[in-house]
Amino acid sequence: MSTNKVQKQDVLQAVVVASFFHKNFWPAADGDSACLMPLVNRPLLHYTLDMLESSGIVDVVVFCSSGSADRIKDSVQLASGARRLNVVYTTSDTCRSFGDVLRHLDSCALIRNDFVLLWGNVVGQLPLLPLVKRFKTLRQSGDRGAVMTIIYQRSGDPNAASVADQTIVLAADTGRVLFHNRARGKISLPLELVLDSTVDIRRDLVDTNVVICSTAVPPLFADNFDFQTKDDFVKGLLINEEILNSTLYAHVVDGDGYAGEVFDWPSYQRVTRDVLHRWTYPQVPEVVDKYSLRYGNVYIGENLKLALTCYLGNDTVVGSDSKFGSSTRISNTVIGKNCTIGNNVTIENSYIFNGVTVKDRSVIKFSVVGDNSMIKENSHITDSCILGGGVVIEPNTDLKQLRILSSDSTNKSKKLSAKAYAYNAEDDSDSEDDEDVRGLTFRKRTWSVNSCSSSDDDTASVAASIPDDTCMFYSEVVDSLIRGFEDHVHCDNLILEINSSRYAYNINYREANFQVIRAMLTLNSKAELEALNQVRYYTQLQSKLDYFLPVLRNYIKTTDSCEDCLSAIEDIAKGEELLNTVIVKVIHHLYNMNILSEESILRWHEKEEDTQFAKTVREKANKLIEWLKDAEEETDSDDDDDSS
Amino acid sequence: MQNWLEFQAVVMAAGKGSRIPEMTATKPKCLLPVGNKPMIYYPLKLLENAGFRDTKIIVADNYANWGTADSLRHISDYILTDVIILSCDLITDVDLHQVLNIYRNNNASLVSLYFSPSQDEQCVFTVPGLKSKNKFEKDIIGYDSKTSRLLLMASASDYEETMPISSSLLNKCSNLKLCSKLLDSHMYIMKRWLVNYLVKDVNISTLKGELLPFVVKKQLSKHCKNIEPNEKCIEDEEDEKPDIFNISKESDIETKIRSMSCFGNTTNFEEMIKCYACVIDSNIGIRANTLYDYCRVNKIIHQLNIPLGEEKDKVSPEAEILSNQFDKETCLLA
Repeated sequence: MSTNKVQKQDVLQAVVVASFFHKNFWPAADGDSACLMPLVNRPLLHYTLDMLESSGIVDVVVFCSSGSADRIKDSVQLASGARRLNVVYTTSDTCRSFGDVLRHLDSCALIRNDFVLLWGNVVGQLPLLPLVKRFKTLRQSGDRGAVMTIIYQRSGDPNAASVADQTIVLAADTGRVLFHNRARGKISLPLELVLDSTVDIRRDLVDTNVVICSTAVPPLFADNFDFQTKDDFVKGLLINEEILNSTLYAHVVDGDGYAGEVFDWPSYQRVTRDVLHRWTYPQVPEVVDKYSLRYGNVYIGENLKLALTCYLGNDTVVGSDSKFGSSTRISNTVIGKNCTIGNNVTIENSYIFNGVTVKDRSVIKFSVVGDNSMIKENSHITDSCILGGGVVIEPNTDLKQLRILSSDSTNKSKKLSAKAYAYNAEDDSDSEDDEDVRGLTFRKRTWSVNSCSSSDDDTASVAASIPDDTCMFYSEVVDSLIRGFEDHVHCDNLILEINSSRYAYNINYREANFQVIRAMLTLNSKAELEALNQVRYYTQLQSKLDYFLPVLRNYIKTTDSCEDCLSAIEDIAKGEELLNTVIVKVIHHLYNMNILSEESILRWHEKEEDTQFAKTVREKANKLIEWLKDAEEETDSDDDDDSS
Repeated sequence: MQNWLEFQAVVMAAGKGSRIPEMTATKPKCLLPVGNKPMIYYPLKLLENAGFRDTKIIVADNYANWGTADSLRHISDYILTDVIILSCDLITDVDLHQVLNIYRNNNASLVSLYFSPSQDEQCVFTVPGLKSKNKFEKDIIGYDSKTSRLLLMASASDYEETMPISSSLLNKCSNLKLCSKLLDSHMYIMKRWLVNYLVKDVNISTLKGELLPFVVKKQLSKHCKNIEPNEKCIEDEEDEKPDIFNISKESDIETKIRSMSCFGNTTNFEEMIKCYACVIDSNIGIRANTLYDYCRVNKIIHQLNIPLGEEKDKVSPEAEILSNQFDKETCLLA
């Protein structure tokens, strides 16, 4: 029967999810139609459809939210690759996540066969048919429970730690996914995995967001209504492997194709660079559109008016019908169609969408400028500014790290001019999403726009940089401690509370030590801090530390925990000026209270650190260290009690 | 024949054969017959084939319970160059040059040879003796699948249910291969300074059990001046722990070579300790240290590409063959 079925099913289906359920690209594009955002002057969705078309897929189901359905339909009709595709649209208003989409697919019964599932943000060139064939033979001959092959791409840069943020354990011979972990840091593998077979622990893999699914996948989502994302699905299947009787496999694209996923600005930068460097061939500008390629990956559109003295650097795209003034310098930049750039303008590492006007002497670096915006004379827009469509920037404006909208729809934005409103992330208490929205990478390290709306404003700045669970744990500890201090809750109860949060968020001991100390040092809100001077700050901090002495005793017992405690103090002092001034006093106080052992302080002090801050802190502590050393010589016998 | 000033060879033949007590009661393990030759013939032959002229053989003496590292420490005065250490129960036809080249290419501190599990597991046969004897000790070996750099050595018995893998290890190597089925050949090539280290640290008594995991682990830690003092002997430790890094200092000439050459990976620049694993598939390699392996090696010895002597030696002329079921291809007769 099964062979009969296979012959009937030779038509291969693909499902494209063209709705992103995140606001990473806002305000340059909203969540519904982010897949129409231009990447190298071409909507993202067109790349995806072209890829499907060239890999031999005929039937495509496009899922879009009903609000953007018409726009997406119009756009798809213009895509060159879509002509040979048989596109079916399906819409729903109730879908709020990827899991909802699959439940919707299940209820619509659109899937008849093994299918390729991907988002509308995948750019690349993958031989999908052989992969699907391999998946089919695997299901027929090897593992009947195989439900999904996840396609990963090996990240080319071994140091691209920011790109590959997951740890995957694969069986070396079959490529079966055995273990998946989103968090960085250490992992603990079940021993039986290692003993059963040879495994590969991969940290160099990047999601392509292309998966090959069997027909069993939508029902699995329907059965497990708590699966919201693909990660939930992977996690759920791996945990309940015996119950669900389903297995996952991975395929690593390495040399036989390219696939990049555009889900936030850093990935947008990365994929744009890859397109310009022609990894996605034949999906490169001069093949799919009317561009001519010049030396140094410069792509030039038609009908341009370039001044004689304007300079185009490497990796630059200029859309057709654009005009450039004299002495204008442009490098590493994508400029849309119909743009007008004035004289003496500098644009570097930026993405200018269609119809933008930039007036004389302006500077744009590491920024995104939305459709039909205007930037007037002598403005500086740098360091990951994201400008929405239709924004008008007045002359002589200096903008850094801002998100600018053309109209104020929510009344929460700061007005800059008639058509420019700065979105204020900190005041945004409505949006409950804790995820980081990352801007363009404009320095060596990634700068993250902080949209973390935690209860305390002063903690938000540090909270954005740590992983979700830890962040939640930290904020709970802060809440417990604040309440405990105000209501004079007994410390034993506080310990109980903190421990239960620790289990709830699965935080290990050392992490917990670190976070508890951090929380203890950041109890003051920003407003209070401003009112306090240094002396009063310290007395207040001291009283709090004294109050929480039993809590400290409970957590800081061993030399390891002392080390955590010291690093937490250092970490907080880095961000907070007041604490920084009294850091030595705090350490001394903790030593007096027998929390920190002398040995651990000495070791902390001797640890070699690279950063300037760590060095200055250690210099500050020199006196304390000397004193400690003297004390040690005098009272050798007492030390044993301290350092226990 | 080449003159091997580059390496000195040491064959460890002092093992008592504690895993096969029935057979080693009367005879040292290294003299047990395999294919009508004493076992130690095979590692010596391997060295001879590779061009070694002399070697040191460590044999058992009255010294009680010396580990392999103790023995090596004992003869450290005679070791002047980098050293190859073999075990007397290693029977293989691997090309030694292949292993040596890995050592040379990577400027490794240490190379350890592993055999991937033999594919012909179907040749199951009954082992004389008790069933329960035939137990494998599972070692977990982790190495980078591209550079085959050895990054993790552990024994399965060290862990209970889960096995933690530190983030420093994961950061160092983004594509780690963990194997539990590799066979450790107990053949190591190591730099001279590791022997120096052994001389300094008298606590280490075995190579595989203590020195190797320690050195492999030290690859990950940063070169900093004080490493956590142990409660036991703080003074001793402070003298010792930095040693592994101090001893491993490169000679001036090497530093110069490195600073002048444009070849090589800059990320490895700072690293003093580099351990590599050499995993060999094609050849047959066996350690005849258990009853099971001893039987197996006797069974397949004729398949090995090791010269066992002339054809006439295979079946001794003095032997009288009365059976008509004697297979000349696979049997050896004294």
